Amino acid sequence: MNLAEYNKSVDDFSDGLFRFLLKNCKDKEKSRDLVQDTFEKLWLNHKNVEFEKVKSYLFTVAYHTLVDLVRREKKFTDFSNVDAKNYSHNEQYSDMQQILHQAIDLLPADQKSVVLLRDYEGYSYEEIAEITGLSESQVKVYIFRARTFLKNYIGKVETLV
Amino acid sequence: MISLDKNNYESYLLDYFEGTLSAEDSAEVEKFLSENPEITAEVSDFEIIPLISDESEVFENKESLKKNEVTPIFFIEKSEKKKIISFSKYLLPSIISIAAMFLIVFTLFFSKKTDLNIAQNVYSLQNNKIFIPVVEKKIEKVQNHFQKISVEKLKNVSHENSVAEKTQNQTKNTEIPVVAERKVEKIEFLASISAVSLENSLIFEEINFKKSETKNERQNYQDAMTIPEFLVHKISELKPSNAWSFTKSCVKKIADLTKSSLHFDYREDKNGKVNSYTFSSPFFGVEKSKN
Repeated sequence: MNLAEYNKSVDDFSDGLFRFLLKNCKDKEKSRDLVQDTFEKLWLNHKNVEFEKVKSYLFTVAYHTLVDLVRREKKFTDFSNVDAKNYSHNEQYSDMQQILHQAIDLLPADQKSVVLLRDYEGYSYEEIAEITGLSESQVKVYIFRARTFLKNYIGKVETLV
Repeated sequence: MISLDKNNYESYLLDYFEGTLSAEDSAEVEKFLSENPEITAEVSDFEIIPLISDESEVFENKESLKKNEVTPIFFIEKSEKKKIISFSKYLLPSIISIAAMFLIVFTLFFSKKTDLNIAQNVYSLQNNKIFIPVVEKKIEKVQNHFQKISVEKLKNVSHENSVAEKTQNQTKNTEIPVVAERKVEKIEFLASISAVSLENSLIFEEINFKKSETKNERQNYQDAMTIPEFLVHKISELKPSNAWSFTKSCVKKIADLTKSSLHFDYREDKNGKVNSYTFSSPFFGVEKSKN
Protein backbone atom coordinates (compact mmCIF):
# COMPACT_ATOMS: atom_id res chain seq x y z
CA MET A 1 0.00 0.00 0.00
CA ASN A 2 1.38 3.40 -0.86
CA LEU A 3 0.94 6.81 0.70
CA ALA A 4 -2.02 7.78 -1.49
CA GLU A 5 -3.79 4.53 -0.70
CA TYR A 6 -3.11 5.02 2.98
CA ASN A 7 -4.66 8.50 2.86
CA LYS A 8 -7.60 7.15 0.92
CA SER A 9 -8.19 4.52 3.56
CA VAL A 10 -8.33 7.32 6.13
CA ASP A 11 -11.12 8.91 4.11
CA ASP A 12 -12.93 5.66 3.47
CA PHE A 13 -12.74 3.85 6.76
CA SER A 14 -12.04 6.23 9.63
CA ASP A 15 -15.73 7.03 10.11
CA GLY A 16 -16.81 3.40 10.11
CA LEU A 17 -14.00 2.47 12.42
CA PHE A 18 -14.86 5.33 14.73
CA ARG A 19 -18.54 4.34 14.87
CA PHE A 20 -17.64 0.72 15.51
CA LEU A 21 -15.33 1.66 18.37
CA LEU A 22 -17.69 4.26 19.77
CA LYS A 23 -20.58 1.82 19.82
CA ASN A 24 -18.41 -0.69 21.61
CA CYS A 25 -16.69 1.45 24.20
CA LYS A 26 -19.20 4.31 24.54
CA ASP A 27 -16.47 6.88 24.95
CA LYS A 28 -15.80 9.40 22.21
CA GLU A 29 -12.42 10.45 23.46
CA LYS A 30 -11.24 6.88 23.79
CA SER A 31 -12.67 5.95 20.40
CA ARG A 32 -10.81 8.82 18.79
CA ASP A 33 -7.58 7.71 20.42
CA LEU A 34 -8.16 4.16 19.28
CA VAL A 35 -8.81 5.26 15.70
CA GLN A 36 -5.60 7.23 15.85
CA ASP A 37 -3.63 4.31 17.27
CA THR A 38 -5.10 1.96 14.70
CA PHE A 39 -4.11 4.17 11.79
CA GLU A 40 -0.71 4.72 13.33
CA LYS A 41 -0.23 0.96 13.38
CA LEU A 42 -1.40 0.77 9.80
CA TRP A 43 1.06 3.48 8.82
CA LEU A 44 3.94 1.69 10.46
CA ASN A 45 2.95 -1.43 8.63
CA HIS A 46 1.54 0.06 5.44
CA LYS A 47 4.17 -1.44 3.18
CA ASN A 48 3.06 -4.92 4.18
CA VAL A 49 -0.68 -4.36 3.95
CA GLU A 50 -2.42 -4.67 0.62
CA PHE A 51 -4.89 -1.95 -0.15
CA GLU A 52 -7.65 -4.49 -0.84
CA LYS A 53 -7.27 -5.84 2.68
CA VAL A 54 -6.82 -2.60 4.51
CA LYS A 55 -10.36 -2.40 5.87
CA SER A 56 -10.18 -5.81 7.39
CA TYR A 57 -6.70 -4.99 8.73
CA LEU A 58 -8.03 -1.86 10.43
CA PHE A 59 -10.96 -3.62 12.01
CA THR A 60 -8.81 -6.52 13.12
CA VAL A 61 -6.36 -4.19 14.85
CA ALA A 62 -9.18 -2.11 16.34
CA TYR A 63 -11.07 -5.17 17.52
CA HIS A 64 -8.10 -6.63 19.35
CA THR A 65 -7.20 -3.29 20.92
CA LEU A 66 -10.78 -3.06 22.04
CA VAL A 67 -10.78 -6.53 23.52
CA ASP A 68 -7.64 -5.70 25.49
CA LEU A 69 -9.18 -2.48 26.65
CA VAL A 70 -12.42 -4.11 27.73
CA ARG A 71 -10.53 -6.84 29.53
CA ARG A 72 -8.41 -4.26 31.30
CA GLU A 73 -11.44 -2.37 32.40
CA LYS A 74 -13.23 -5.58 33.27
CA LYS A 75 -16.29 -4.55 31.42
CA PHE A 76 -17.09 -8.10 30.45
CA THR A 77 -20.30 -8.88 32.24
CA ASP A 78 -21.83 -12.23 32.73
CA PHE A 79 -24.71 -12.35 30.32
CA SER A 80 -26.94 -14.18 32.77
CA ASN A 81 -26.62 -11.28 35.21
CA VAL A 82 -28.12 -8.84 32.79
CA ASP A 83 -31.69 -8.13 33.62
CA ALA A 84 -33.42 -6.24 30.88
CA LYS A 85 -35.97 -4.91 33.37
CA ASN A 86 -33.32 -2.77 35.01
CA TYR A 87 -32.73 -1.02 31.78
CA SER A 88 -36.25 -0.53 30.61
CA HIS A 89 -38.14 2.69 31.12
CA ASN A 90 -41.41 4.24 30.18
CA GLU A 91 -40.34 6.95 27.81
CA GLN A 92 -41.68 6.82 24.32
CA TYR A 93 -39.28 5.49 21.78
CA SER A 94 -39.01 7.36 18.57
CA ASP A 95 -38.23 4.29 16.59
CA MET A 96 -37.08 0.71 16.60
CA GLN A 97 -33.45 1.62 15.97
CA GLN A 98 -33.32 3.59 19.17
CA ILE A 99 -34.53 0.62 21.13
CA LEU A 100 -32.12 -1.65 19.33
CA HIS A 101 -29.18 0.59 20.08
CA GLN A 102 -30.17 0.72 23.67
CA ALA A 103 -30.45 -3.04 23.74
CA ILE A 104 -27.13 -3.66 22.06
CA ASP A 105 -25.34 -1.92 24.89
CA LEU A 106 -26.59 -4.66 27.17
CA LEU A 107 -24.93 -7.40 25.16
CA PRO A 108 -21.65 -8.91 26.28
CA ALA A 109 -18.71 -7.24 24.54
CA ASP A 110 -17.90 -10.14 22.22
CA GLN A 111 -21.49 -10.50 20.97
CA LYS A 112 -21.78 -6.78 20.52
CA SER A 113 -18.64 -6.57 18.42
CA VAL A 114 -19.63 -9.30 16.01
CA VAL A 115 -23.14 -7.94 15.52
CA LEU A 116 -21.71 -4.48 14.81
CA LEU A 117 -19.23 -5.89 12.35
CA ARG A 118 -22.09 -7.69 10.66
CA ASP A 119 -24.66 -4.90 10.60
CA TYR A 120 -22.56 -1.75 10.50
CA GLU A 121 -19.87 -2.99 8.18
CA GLY A 122 -21.63 -5.79 6.37
CA TYR A 123 -18.89 -8.33 6.88
CA SER A 124 -19.54 -11.97 6.08
CA TYR A 125 -19.35 -14.49 8.93
CA GLU A 126 -16.12 -15.76 7.47
CA GLU A 127 -14.60 -12.28 7.47
CA ILE A 128 -15.78 -11.63 11.01
CA ALA A 129 -14.16 -14.87 12.04
CA GLU A 130 -10.90 -13.68 10.51
CA ILE A 131 -11.07 -10.31 12.21
CA THR A 132 -11.95 -11.60 15.64
CA GLY A 133 -9.96 -14.81 15.55
CA LEU A 134 -13.07 -16.77 16.48
CA SER A 135 -14.29 -19.77 14.51
CA GLU A 136 -16.99 -19.15 11.96
CA SER A 137 -19.51 -21.21 13.87
CA GLN A 138 -18.63 -19.35 17.07
CA VAL A 139 -19.35 -16.11 15.26
CA LYS A 140 -22.71 -17.46 14.13
CA VAL A 141 -23.54 -18.58 17.65
CA TYR A 142 -22.74 -15.12 19.03
CA ILE A 143 -24.80 -13.43 16.38
CA PHE A 144 -27.66 -15.83 16.84
CA ARG A 145 -27.68 -15.25 20.60
CA ALA A 146 -27.38 -11.51 20.15
CA ARG A 147 -30.27 -11.46 17.69
CA THR A 148 -32.40 -13.57 19.97
CA PHE A 149 -31.63 -11.22 22.85
CA LEU A 150 -32.38 -8.13 20.76
CA LYS A 151 -35.63 -9.60 19.56
CA ASN A 152 -36.68 -10.51 23.09
CA TYR A 153 -35.67 -7.11 24.38
CA ILE A 154 -37.81 -5.40 21.80
CA GLY A 155 -40.66 -7.73 22.71
CA LYS A 156 -40.33 -6.70 26.36
CA VAL A 157 -40.20 -3.02 25.55
CA GLU A 158 -43.24 -3.30 23.32
CA THR A 159 -45.12 -5.04 26.11
CA LEU A 160 -44.14 -2.27 28.53
CA VAL A 161 -45.11 0.45 26.11
CA MET B 1 -25.45 -33.13 5.37
CA ILE B 2 -25.37 -31.45 8.75
CA SER B 3 -25.84 -33.14 12.05
CA LEU B 4 -27.61 -31.09 14.68
CA ASP B 5 -27.53 -31.48 18.41
CA LYS B 6 -28.17 -29.27 21.38
CA ASN B 7 -24.58 -28.08 21.38
CA ASN B 8 -24.33 -26.92 17.84
CA TYR B 9 -27.81 -25.93 16.74
CA GLU B 10 -27.40 -22.19 17.19
CA SER B 11 -25.06 -21.53 14.31
CA TYR B 12 -27.25 -23.60 11.97
CA LEU B 13 -30.38 -21.83 13.09
CA LEU B 14 -28.88 -18.53 12.06
CA ASP B 15 -28.19 -19.90 8.59
CA TYR B 16 -31.64 -21.41 8.56
CA PHE B 17 -33.37 -18.14 9.33
CA GLU B 18 -31.20 -16.32 6.86
CA GLY B 19 -32.19 -18.89 4.24
CA THR B 20 -28.65 -19.85 3.35
CA LEU B 21 -29.00 -23.58 4.07
CA SER B 22 -29.59 -26.14 1.35
CA ALA B 23 -33.05 -27.68 1.15
CA GLU B 24 -31.71 -30.87 2.65
CA ASP B 25 -30.09 -29.10 5.57
CA SER B 26 -33.16 -26.96 6.11
CA ALA B 27 -35.22 -30.11 6.39
CA GLU B 28 -32.73 -31.35 8.96
CA VAL B 29 -33.14 -28.16 11.01
CA GLU B 30 -36.93 -28.37 10.82
CA LYS B 31 -36.76 -31.97 11.98
CA PHE B 32 -34.52 -30.93 14.89
CA LEU B 33 -36.92 -28.13 15.84
CA SER B 34 -39.92 -30.43 15.78
CA GLU B 35 -38.06 -32.82 18.09
CA ASN B 36 -37.13 -30.01 20.47
CA PRO B 37 -40.25 -27.96 21.19
CA GLU B 38 -38.52 -25.89 23.90
CA ILE B 39 -36.01 -24.63 21.34
CA THR B 40 -38.80 -24.00 18.86
CA ALA B 41 -40.55 -21.87 21.48
CA GLU B 42 -37.36 -19.97 22.14
CA VAL B 43 -36.81 -19.07 18.52
CA SER B 44 -40.38 -18.99 17.31
CA ASP B 45 -40.44 -15.26 16.63
CA PHE B 46 -36.82 -15.03 15.61
CA GLU B 47 -36.42 -12.08 13.38
CA ILE B 48 -33.40 -10.33 12.00
CA ILE B 49 -33.62 -6.65 12.67
CA PRO B 50 -30.40 -5.15 11.41
CA LEU B 51 -28.80 -2.31 13.31
CA ILE B 52 -28.32 0.80 11.26
CA SER B 53 -25.29 2.86 12.08
CA ASP B 54 -25.69 6.49 12.94
CA GLU B 55 -24.05 8.20 9.98
CA SER B 56 -23.92 11.50 11.81
CA GLU B 57 -21.14 10.14 13.99
CA VAL B 58 -17.96 10.82 12.06
CA PHE B 59 -14.30 10.95 12.84
CA GLU B 60 -13.76 14.64 12.68
CA ASN B 61 -10.10 15.30 12.24
CA LYS B 62 -9.24 13.04 9.33
CA GLU B 63 -6.43 15.29 8.22
CA SER B 64 -4.59 14.53 11.43
CA LEU B 65 -4.42 10.89 10.42
CA LYS B 66 -3.14 11.52 6.95
CA LYS B 67 0.48 11.50 6.04
CA ASN B 68 2.43 13.70 3.69
CA GLU B 69 5.18 12.64 1.41
CA VAL B 70 8.25 12.13 3.54
CA THR B 71 11.32 13.90 2.36
CA PRO B 72 13.95 12.10 4.29
CA ILE B 73 17.07 13.91 5.24
CA PHE B 74 18.73 10.80 6.39
CA PHE B 75 18.01 7.20 7.03
CA ILE B 76 18.73 4.84 9.81
CA GLU B 77 19.67 1.28 9.42
CA LYS B 78 21.14 -1.19 11.81
CA SER B 79 24.70 -2.08 11.16
CA GLU B 80 26.60 -4.21 13.61
CA LYS B 81 27.07 -2.19 16.77
CA LYS B 82 26.56 1.26 15.40
CA LYS B 83 23.62 2.74 13.71
CA ILE B 84 24.39 4.14 10.34
CA ILE B 85 22.52 7.08 9.05
CA SER B 86 22.69 7.80 5.41
CA PHE B 87 21.44 11.12 4.29
CA SER B 88 20.10 12.52 1.09
CA LYS B 89 20.79 15.90 -0.30
CA TYR B 90 17.39 17.25 0.66
CA LEU B 91 17.33 20.05 3.17
CA LEU B 92 21.04 20.06 3.40
CA PRO B 93 21.00 23.56 4.89
CA SER B 94 19.09 22.33 7.87
CA ILE B 95 21.52 19.48 8.32
CA ILE B 96 24.33 21.93 8.22
CA SER B 97 22.77 24.20 10.81
CA ILE B 98 22.16 21.29 13.10
CA ALA B 99 25.57 19.93 12.34
CA ALA B 100 27.08 23.31 13.09
CA MET B 101 25.40 23.32 16.47
CA PHE B 102 26.68 19.91 17.30
CA LEU B 103 30.06 20.92 16.04
CA ILE B 104 30.14 23.83 18.42
CA VAL B 105 28.91 21.73 21.30
CA PHE B 106 31.67 19.32 20.80
CA THR B 107 34.35 21.82 20.13
CA LEU B 108 33.32 23.50 23.33
CA PHE B 109 32.85 20.46 25.43
CA PHE B 110 35.95 18.75 24.35
CA SER B 111 38.28 21.65 23.94
CA LYS B 112 39.77 20.76 27.27
CA LYS B 113 41.78 17.67 27.87
CA THR B 114 39.56 14.80 28.67
CA ASP B 115 39.91 11.11 28.84
CA LEU B 116 36.45 10.53 27.47
CA ASN B 117 36.46 8.50 24.34
CA ILE B 118 33.65 10.44 22.80
CA ALA B 119 35.72 13.58 23.02
CA GLN B 120 38.10 12.30 20.45
CA ASN B 121 35.49 12.22 17.78
CA VAL B 122 34.56 15.78 17.14
CA TYR B 123 31.93 16.08 14.54
CA SER B 124 32.90 16.92 11.03
CA LEU B 125 31.02 16.60 7.80
CA GLN B 126 34.03 15.12 6.07
CA ASN B 127 34.15 12.26 8.48
CA ASN B 128 30.44 11.67 8.08
CA LYS B 129 29.76 11.67 11.75
CA ILE B 130 27.00 13.23 13.72
CA PHE B 131 26.27 13.21 17.40
CA ILE B 132 22.87 12.52 18.80
CA PRO B 133 22.09 13.07 22.45
CA VAL B 134 21.32 10.13 24.65
CA VAL B 135 20.64 10.05 28.33
CA GLU B 136 22.64 7.85 30.58
CA LYS B 137 22.43 7.79 34.29
CA LYS B 138 25.12 9.13 36.51
CA ILE B 139 28.18 9.25 34.44
CA GLU B 140 30.34 11.15 36.86
CA LYS B 141 33.01 12.13 34.42
CA VAL B 142 30.65 13.62 31.97
CA GLN B 143 28.89 15.54 34.68
CA ASN B 144 32.04 17.05 36.05
CA HIS B 145 33.17 17.92 32.63
CA PHE B 146 29.96 19.67 31.73
CA GLN B 147 29.81 21.61 34.93
CA LYS B 148 32.75 23.68 33.92
CA ILE B 149 30.75 25.33 31.19
CA SER B 150 28.34 27.91 32.41
CA VAL B 151 25.91 29.97 30.44
CA GLU B 152 27.47 33.22 31.61
CA LYS B 153 30.91 32.31 30.54
CA LEU B 154 29.72 31.31 27.16
CA LYS B 155 27.95 34.56 26.62
CA ASN B 156 30.87 36.71 27.60
CA VAL B 157 33.51 35.23 25.46
CA SER B 158 34.32 36.64 22.08
CA HIS B 159 36.86 35.91 19.47
CA GLU B 160 37.19 36.55 15.82
CA ASN B 161 38.98 33.47 14.67
CA SER B 162 37.36 30.25 13.80
CA VAL B 163 35.94 28.07 16.49
CA ALA B 164 38.09 25.10 15.77
CA GLU B 165 41.34 27.00 15.65
CA LYS B 166 40.69 28.93 18.79
CA THR B 167 39.54 26.09 20.87
CA GLN B 168 42.61 24.18 19.88
CA ASN B 169 44.81 27.02 20.98
CA GLN B 170 42.96 27.42 24.22
CA THR B 171 42.94 23.80 25.07
CA LYS B 172 45.82 23.84 27.47
CA ASN B 173 45.50 27.26 28.99
CA THR B 174 41.99 28.02 29.99
CA GLU B 175 38.88 26.48 31.31
CA ILE B 176 36.72 28.86 29.36
CA PRO B 177 35.96 27.79 25.86
CA VAL B 178 36.47 30.55 23.36
CA VAL B 179 34.17 31.06 20.44
CA ALA B 180 33.46 33.76 17.94
CA GLU B 181 30.94 36.36 19.00
CA ARG B 182 28.77 35.95 15.94
CA LYS B 183 27.90 32.50 17.17
CA VAL B 184 26.16 33.83 20.24
CA GLU B 185 22.72 32.70 19.29
CA LYS B 186 23.92 29.19 18.81
CA ILE B 187 25.85 29.29 21.99
CA GLU B 188 22.77 30.09 23.96
CA PHE B 189 21.15 27.07 22.53
CA LEU B 190 24.14 25.00 23.44
CA ALA B 191 24.04 26.40 26.90
CA SER B 192 20.53 25.15 27.33
CA ILE B 193 21.66 21.77 26.18
CA SER B 194 24.44 21.76 28.67
CA ALA B 195 22.08 22.81 31.44
CA VAL B 196 19.89 19.85 30.69
CA SER B 197 23.00 17.81 30.36
CA LEU B 198 23.95 18.48 33.92
CA GLU B 199 20.69 17.23 35.28
CA ASN B 200 20.36 14.19 33.16
CA SER B 201 23.97 13.46 32.50
CA LEU B 202 23.28 13.85 28.90
CA ILE B 203 26.00 12.57 26.68
CA PHE B 204 26.20 12.29 22.98
CA GLU B 205 26.15 9.10 21.10
CA GLU B 206 28.22 8.97 18.04
CA ILE B 207 26.40 8.02 14.92
CA ASN B 208 27.91 7.58 11.54
CA PHE B 209 26.05 8.40 8.45
CA LYS B 210 26.73 8.03 4.78
CA LYS B 211 25.28 9.49 1.70
CA SER B 212 22.73 7.39 -0.05
CA GLU B 213 23.71 7.28 -3.65
CA THR B 214 20.53 6.34 -5.41
CA LYS B 215 16.84 6.92 -5.05
CA ASN B 216 16.32 3.19 -4.72
CA GLU B 217 18.70 3.01 -1.88
CA ARG B 218 16.80 5.72 -0.07
CA GLN B 219 13.51 4.00 -0.62
CA ASN B 220 14.87 0.79 0.75
CA TYR B 221 15.26 2.23 4.19
CA GLN B 222 12.22 1.49 6.26
CA ASP B 223 12.96 4.05 8.92
CA ALA B 224 13.40 7.18 6.92
CA MET B 225 13.42 10.12 9.31
CA THR B 226 14.45 13.68 9.36
CA ILE B 227 16.96 14.76 11.95
CA PRO B 228 14.37 16.37 14.22
CA GLU B 229 12.21 13.31 13.85
CA PHE B 230 15.13 11.22 14.82
CA LEU B 231 15.75 13.41 17.85
CA VAL B 232 12.19 12.99 18.96
CA HIS B 233 12.24 9.31 18.23
CA LYS B 234 15.43 8.86 20.13
CA ILE B 235 14.53 10.94 23.11
CA SER B 236 10.97 9.78 23.46
CA GLU B 237 12.33 6.34 24.18
CA LEU B 238 13.92 7.74 27.27
CA LYS B 239 12.23 8.10 30.60
CA PRO B 240 13.55 11.24 32.29
CA SER B 241 11.08 14.06 31.97
CA ASN B 242 13.83 16.56 31.28
CA ALA B 243 14.52 14.76 28.06
CA TRP B 244 11.10 15.96 26.99
CA SER B 245 11.74 19.60 27.70
CA PHE B 246 15.10 19.17 26.09
CA THR B 247 13.49 17.78 22.97
CA LYS B 248 11.03 20.61 22.95
CA SER B 249 13.72 23.27 23.11
CA CYS B 250 15.80 21.39 20.55
CA VAL B 251 12.96 21.20 18.08
CA LYS B 252 11.99 24.81 18.65
CA LYS B 253 15.50 25.98 18.05
CA ILE B 254 15.91 23.85 14.97
CA ALA B 255 12.60 25.18 13.67
CA ASP B 256 13.76 28.77 14.23
CA LEU B 257 17.08 28.21 12.60
CA THR B 258 15.75 26.40 9.60
CA LYS B 259 12.58 28.49 9.41
CA SER B 260 10.54 25.33 9.11
CA SER B 261 7.23 24.50 10.70
CA LEU B 262 8.44 21.96 13.19
CA HIS B 263 6.48 21.62 16.33
CA PHE B 264 6.90 19.47 19.36
CA ASP B 265 4.92 19.48 22.55
CA TYR B 266 4.05 17.15 25.36
CA ARG B 267 1.57 16.94 28.17
CA GLU B 268 2.20 15.89 31.71
CA ASP B 269 -0.23 14.34 34.10
CA LYS B 270 -0.76 15.39 37.69
CA ASN B 271 2.34 13.57 38.85
CA GLY B 272 4.49 15.26 36.27
CA LYS B 273 4.74 12.16 34.13
CA VAL B 274 4.58 12.69 30.40
CA ASN B 275 1.52 10.92 29.09
CA SER B 276 1.39 12.14 25.53
CA TYR B 277 3.36 14.03 22.98
CA THR B 278 2.79 15.54 19.59
CA PHE B 279 5.29 16.16 16.91
CA SER B 280 4.71 17.60 13.52
CA SER B 281 6.90 18.64 10.69
CA PRO B 282 6.29 19.38 7.01
CA PHE B 283 7.09 15.74 6.38
CA PHE B 284 5.74 13.79 9.25
CA GLY B 285 3.26 13.97 12.07
CA VAL B 286 2.74 11.89 15.12
CA GLU B 287 0.60 12.20 18.16
CA LYS B 288 1.04 9.65 20.87
CA SER B 289 -0.70 9.05 24.08
CA LYS B 290 0.64 6.57 26.54
CA ASN B 291 -2.77 5.68 27.85
